[in-house]
Amino acid sequence: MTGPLPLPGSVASDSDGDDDDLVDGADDLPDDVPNDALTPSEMQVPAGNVADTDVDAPVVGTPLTDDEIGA
Amino acid sequence: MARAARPVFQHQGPATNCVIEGEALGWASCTAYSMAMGIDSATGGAVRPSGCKIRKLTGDKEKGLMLSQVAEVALEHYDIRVSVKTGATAISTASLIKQVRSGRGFVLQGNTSALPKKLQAGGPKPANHAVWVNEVRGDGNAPDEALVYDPAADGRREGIDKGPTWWAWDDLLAFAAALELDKHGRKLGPGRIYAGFIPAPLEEEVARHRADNGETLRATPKPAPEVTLRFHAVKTKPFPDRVRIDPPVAGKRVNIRSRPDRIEPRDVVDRARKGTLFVAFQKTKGATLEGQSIWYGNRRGTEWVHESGLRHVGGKT
Repeated sequence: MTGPLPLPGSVASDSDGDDDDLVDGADDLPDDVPNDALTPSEMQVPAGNVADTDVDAPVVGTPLTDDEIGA
Repeated sequence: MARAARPVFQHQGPATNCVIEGEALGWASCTAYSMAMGIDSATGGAVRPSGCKIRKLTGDKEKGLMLSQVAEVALEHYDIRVSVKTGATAISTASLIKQVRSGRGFVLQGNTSALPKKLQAGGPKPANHAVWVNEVRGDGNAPDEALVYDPAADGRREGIDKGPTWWAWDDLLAFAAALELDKHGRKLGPGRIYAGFIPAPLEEEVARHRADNGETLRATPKPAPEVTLRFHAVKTKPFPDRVRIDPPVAGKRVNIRSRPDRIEPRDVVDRARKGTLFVAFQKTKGATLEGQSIWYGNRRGTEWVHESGLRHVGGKT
């Protein structure tokens, strides 16, 4: 490793340099908001003796094109 | 205008679509399925985990998930740092448009109560929900539409949408604004967004793809190398080093920069809040801040954090 790289000058800390993406009045918003379980009418299927999902099974399909997605 | 690579659509339902240790979690896993599609997109299809895999990796079998949980899985298991914009870092609509037009798809949180009936694929009961938003179209100040991969939109019967679907931009914003923040029904409101963004495509990837194909689609990345050392960096010890963001000033966020050798606003690619996981693969000497000049970088050497903004360096997180 070589020595220090050229410096433009020293500053106190590297935090919150540019806040153009922030919105006012957000300081009291919670960081983490949980999503809910959905309740479609078809959902009432108890797991019962259903085997655990093979989470490593390959995801089937291909990305859709504009024509396949439609308008 | 760049756009993210389109993923394979994944549906979360029925409940038994994701069973973990006997718990049927399909309908409670919108965040995991949305993040799975985001990982697919971020890797150009090179890595395509199932939503149930993401759910399992969170280690959480209780109800719905939060953005921070799936973002941590994306980083720890798939080497994709998702920029989570929530709480005090919730972003403006203008910034959202800027991000998505630069090719950054995102997991969006909202509430289904604000959607037209045809888009309420998870049922009529209002719910906080997550979807994958891949791209937008329309060249005005605001887009006309967004391509949304709603994991509940499985077309299981007539009247249920089948994703992905072009949502009107106003529908997307209404969905985002209706997010319920607490059990008292407090809404997020308009003008701010809770979302998790995948990284922007590397400029050289976009340029190469534009030259090859005449468009600005995100190129499929090559398999990740062990590490690409940049800026005269060396590997971290341990390798990699799981560290946490720790702002030196309380309440502030730490800048993540594209290079460690200078302090310029144009190099800030993101800002991370306290506690955010950052996996450091390399370190180097760079610009000095309060007498310290060590910077930690990601696997590709495209994101750097100054040592003053980190904790647990060289130790356990």
